[in-house]
Amino acid sequence: MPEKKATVFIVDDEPMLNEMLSDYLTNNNPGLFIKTFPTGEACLESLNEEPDVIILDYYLNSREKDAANGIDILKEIKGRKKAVPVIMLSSQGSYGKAAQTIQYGAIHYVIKGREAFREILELVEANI
Amino acid sequence: MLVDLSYLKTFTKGNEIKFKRYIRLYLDDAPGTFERMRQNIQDKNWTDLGINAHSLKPKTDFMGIASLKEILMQIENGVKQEQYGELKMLYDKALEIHQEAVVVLNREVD
Repeated sequence: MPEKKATVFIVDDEPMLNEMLSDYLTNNNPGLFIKTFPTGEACLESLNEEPDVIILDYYLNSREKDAANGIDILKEIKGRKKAVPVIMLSSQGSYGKAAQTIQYGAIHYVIKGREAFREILELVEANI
Repeated sequence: MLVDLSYLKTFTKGNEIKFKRYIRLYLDDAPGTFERMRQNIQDKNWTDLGINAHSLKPKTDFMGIASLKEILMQIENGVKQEQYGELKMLYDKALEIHQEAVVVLNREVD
């Protein structure tokens, strides 16, 4: 019987980044099942699917001003599913932001860029 | 070199469909961000200008447009340091580089 794939949610309002990260993870680990979401709200609606890891962008409202930001979504996820590991993404290396996300329960804070894909894969594999 | 696609070529491992797909995603997406930034400057909405510059930055990195990434970082820093007087000039410079890069990128997907 085939082993069940680990489910990874990617939440980013940037379609290009969602797709590149999704492709990278599945190409490098066929044991992953990826679902992408353009908003945090859409991710929350699917939390009952029991993701093994969530990759969550810090800025989720650069396009839709009414969309919740990553920190609010992180708090909501942790309120509902305390045990699910959340990896936060940002384009900015800010100690304050990183500390804030860790304080609210993220396991790691990754800076978006060329080196981020490998780092995220390693974090996902370490947490499934 | 204005646009260096060597990273994207390595990332897509010779998959021409994916290579073109990512370039098209950038070409579809970036003009909207520039339009939002233009509006942010008009409205003096510096916070959103910083957020929009911030969101575009990694995509320019993947497309290998280093000079544009550099200007976007300057816009972000200008917002942080409240040096608002320079932001319009930086935006104009960023838009000029973007428009030149679009010509190069369009050749890749044609």
